[in-house]
Amino acid sequence: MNFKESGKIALIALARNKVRSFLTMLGIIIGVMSVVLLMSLGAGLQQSIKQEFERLGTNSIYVMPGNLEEGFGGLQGSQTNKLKFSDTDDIKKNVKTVVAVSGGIESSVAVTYKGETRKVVSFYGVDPEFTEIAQYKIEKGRTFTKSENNSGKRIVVVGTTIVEKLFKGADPLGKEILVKDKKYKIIGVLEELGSLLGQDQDNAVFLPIESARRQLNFDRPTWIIAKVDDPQDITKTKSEIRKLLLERLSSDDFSVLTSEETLQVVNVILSVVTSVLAGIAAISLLVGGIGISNIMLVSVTERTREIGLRKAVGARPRDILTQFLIEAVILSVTGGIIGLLLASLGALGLSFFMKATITPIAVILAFGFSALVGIIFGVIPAIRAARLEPIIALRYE
Amino acid sequence: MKPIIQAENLRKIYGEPPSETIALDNVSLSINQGEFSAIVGPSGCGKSTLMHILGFLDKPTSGKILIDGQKAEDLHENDLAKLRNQKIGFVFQSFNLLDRTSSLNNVLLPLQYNSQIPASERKKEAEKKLADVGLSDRMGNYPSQLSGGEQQRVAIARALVCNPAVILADEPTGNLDSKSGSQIMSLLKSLNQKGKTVVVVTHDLAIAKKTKRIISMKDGKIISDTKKNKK
Repeated sequence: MNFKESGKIALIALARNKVRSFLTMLGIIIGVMSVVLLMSLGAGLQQSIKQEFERLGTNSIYVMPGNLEEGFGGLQGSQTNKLKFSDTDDIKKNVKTVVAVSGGIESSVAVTYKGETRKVVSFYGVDPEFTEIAQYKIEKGRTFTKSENNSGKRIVVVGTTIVEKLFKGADPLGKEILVKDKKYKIIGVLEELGSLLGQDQDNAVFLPIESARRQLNFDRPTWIIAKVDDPQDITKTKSEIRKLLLERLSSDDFSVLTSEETLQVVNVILSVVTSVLAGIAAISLLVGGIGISNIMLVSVTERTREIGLRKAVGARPRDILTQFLIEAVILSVTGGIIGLLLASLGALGLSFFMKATITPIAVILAFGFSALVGIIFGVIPAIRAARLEPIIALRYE
Repeated sequence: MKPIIQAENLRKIYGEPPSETIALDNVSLSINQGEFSAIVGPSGCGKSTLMHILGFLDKPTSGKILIDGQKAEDLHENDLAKLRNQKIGFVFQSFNLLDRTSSLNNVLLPLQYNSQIPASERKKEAEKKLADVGLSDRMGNYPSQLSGGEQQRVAIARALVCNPAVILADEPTGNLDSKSGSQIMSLLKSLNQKGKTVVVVTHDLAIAKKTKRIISMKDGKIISDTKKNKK
């Protein structure tokens, strides 16, 4: 008996119990779908972050609280932020290669205009040079000046989402909005930035950092970003900034990272999170495999007489083994394909909110794993079927 | 006449001493080519066990079997499968057809495991055997749509499809009414007249009398073996 015939027999047997076959596949479908979808989300996140960093260019240096260079352990350090507003000026004054530097306060606030409130808006308190460093473009109006910052003027630059939602597209320039219940006059609108990691970057307000400090009670910058002219100066500048900050802080209190290093840190975190999630999803594949094994054992018991008869008319143990193994593999591979299709649909649906990329490795992994599950979990029932003595199998009621 | 099955000193013992059951006690038997024989005896006499051993569905505890001149002891499971496929056509009391499978596909079943007959000729061969048992118009029917007699005829077509040396029928009429039963016996008789070697196991003497040789068994032994004179 050849492979094609065994496959035909297996398909007929599966088609006879359509509902059962489908339910058995469901475990594999869900498993493959979750693994592929999670992996594609992870890959999508990494891509969009990379793009964002590419936009910022390779000549930026970030100073962040806590020791990030030691991976995860460093994240805890960020809870005790020891950076000061004066660090920005110190860097500007003492590191000659730095052409622009900005502190940044990052938070989330409520914004109100004429009684209508947006409860969650990204809040940035930045220095005037920030727009240049981040390469943000102004769509309308202007950004604030150094002297406006120094005097703590109550002015604000807003993102396009704020204009859209609170002003319904009307000209917002010169209007006053409430940020954390304090009045600020809009002097500019940023060009649309799009979304990153599912977060709308245009749902934001940018205040002079001095105003934010004086009027809204922020006592420390969340980060400091510095820019050099020549990318070749990056390493030298980085170590100078580090040396400068070490006069005041210990090495565990802050990190100085280049764009590339920041990208690496984010990527490491993302891949660990993705693998952990995909690993958890893989458990459902395992459970699906056990389901296949279980149903195949039931099937072997149910068809004991059929197996006996096949042996009585000349089936070799190998023929019976192949027949049942193929059944298990068809179940798991079909489940794998359906899971993959569903994951593609899911990724397509998610792409309206965030980037999701189905990578070839995810496909190969999911497909290979489901085929493997079929073979591993199908082999025990198949061996059991192949070993049945014809006369015992025929007598079975 | 050429012997097609030769069994020597077959013993089959179930269980361990001292509580063992002796199902076959030194049975020796020779079936010649073209014979139509019946093995009879009360239930528990060992006739079915003998039949299963002759059909390689069961293994003797000791003894030798030659089929069509070929030794069958100490064979690997794969070679036994080949013997069952090519030398023996087995007919069961309970038909043992695959349900929800057409007559044609039931008859095709042994051919799936037969490498001698090319795939292109299998369907033709199966259709021919179904026609031989008078079921040309029933090829697409499932067993559930057939009468008991028809089901047994499908089973006989299945037994014939690989052109075996011998047909072994284990109580072929046991699940049938007397009319269908005698039709089946007539069918087996006509197969024999066309030259096929046929062995029937039965507890029904009336059935056995339709054959040409009656082998009587009791307590695992052959107690008589009578051949009818040709009429």
